[in-house]
Amino acid sequence: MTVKVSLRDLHLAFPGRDGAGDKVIYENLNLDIDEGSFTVLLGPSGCGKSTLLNITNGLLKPTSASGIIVDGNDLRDQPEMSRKMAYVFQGARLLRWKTLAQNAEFGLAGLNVQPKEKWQGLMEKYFSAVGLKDYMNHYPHQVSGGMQQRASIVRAWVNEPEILLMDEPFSHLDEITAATMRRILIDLWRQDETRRTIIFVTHDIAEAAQMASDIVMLTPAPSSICYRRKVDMPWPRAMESDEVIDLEKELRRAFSEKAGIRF
Amino acid sequence: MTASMRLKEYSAQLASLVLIILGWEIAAQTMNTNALPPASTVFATLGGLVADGDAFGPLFSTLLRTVLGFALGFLLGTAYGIFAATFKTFDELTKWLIQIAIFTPTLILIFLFLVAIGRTNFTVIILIALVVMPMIGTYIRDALKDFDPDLEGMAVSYKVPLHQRVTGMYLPFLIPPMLAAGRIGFTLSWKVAFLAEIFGFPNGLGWQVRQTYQIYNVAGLLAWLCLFIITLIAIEQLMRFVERRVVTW
Repeated sequence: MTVKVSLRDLHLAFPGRDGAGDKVIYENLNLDIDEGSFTVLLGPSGCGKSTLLNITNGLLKPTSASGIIVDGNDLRDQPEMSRKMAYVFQGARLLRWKTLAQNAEFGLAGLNVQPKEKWQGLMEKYFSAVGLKDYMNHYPHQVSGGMQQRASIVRAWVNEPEILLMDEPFSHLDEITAATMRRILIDLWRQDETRRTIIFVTHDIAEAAQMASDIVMLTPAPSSICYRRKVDMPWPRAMESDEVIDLEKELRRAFSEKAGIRF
Repeated sequence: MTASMRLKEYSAQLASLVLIILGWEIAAQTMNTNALPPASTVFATLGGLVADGDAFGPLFSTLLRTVLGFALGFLLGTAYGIFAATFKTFDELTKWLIQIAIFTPTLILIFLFLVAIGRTNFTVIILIALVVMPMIGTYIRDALKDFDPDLEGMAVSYKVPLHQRVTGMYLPFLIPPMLAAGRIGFTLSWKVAFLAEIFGFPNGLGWQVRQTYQIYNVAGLLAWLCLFIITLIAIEQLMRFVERRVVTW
């Protein structure tokens, strides 16, 4: 399996407040993400999961690192590598004065997807895939929160990026909507012959068990990888299936034993 | 808002205007005093001014000063607001200056400017700009402070270039507060022009009010005042119409 993203010897610390010492987030963290994998970064709040996405996207500079490698190139030397990525945030972050389609176009224009003539086709394809084709010309306030989040996934996916960074995209949704969204996301990911690399952040063990092809478990800060396992289980995965429930149990056990977190 | 809802809203507004005029008419008829002529007399005087064409010269003079002064104040205020929201040091440096400008009574400014610069159109235009600019500036500055930094993060992550961020993100965000500030600012400009004319101008609506007051022609005074208010209402409605057309989201 080819490595798509590699973070080498990552060190990140923020200055402490009111004379307190530095707040260390990572000390020599190393992480390789396989091409075409659905890698889930699983960890408690505040352990620096989202920060890892920001570093991977070049939005945040680490205190030090021997490499932030994307497709064999260091992102710091070749920032255009970040154009291979699109980001889905916790909130939809849609511009309220633009329709859902115009919001998707905003991303297309930003990442300068060429040729421009194919934008309309791309938008129709992905808005249809998430069941929003009839709502493309609606403004965000005219649709539900779940539909807004679906539109934000389209904004990322229309760019057909090689890497998708997803930061707890369903954590603000009710469980029924979130379950639908997970299914839509897995369907989108599986429909392409060459699967995109997804780095998905969550603190939800059940969500990780249901979606991941690779699970990376992080300890509370200063964060390190305390457990990692590939998941060779076909999709779609039913939440109540024995395999998924067993995996959840295994992950809870790992949290207790490796990260010292009691449930 | 649907057409029927808007019709309902307009009907209520029209009914309130009719009630005000009716109340005025009844009060005038009951009190029977020169200090409050009946609405019918005042509107007849106004009708005469419009029919003779006497209303348009003063109206145009005041309107021209107001529009030019407001445009200058609006431009300067918007520029100030954007700068103050973007550069914290600039905001701190100018904060008290702007506060002083807002707190200073408009009448004092009018006297000072008329004495210092003289009774020219330029004086009134500068005066209006000076009164309107701090109000617009603080409004825009405070509105921009409410801009969601998460949207900025989204734009950065999607590598949206600056010009597209300005046209696609900041400007549309600013349009509603700019329109709201514009409506308030224009009313303020109109009042400053009116006051400046009362105190030192040989033409304009304010001057006409002063003239009618000096000969104790209360019906004439109120007729000019009504013309002032009707024009203001018309402009306000026009601005609301533009706002509805522009802000569709």
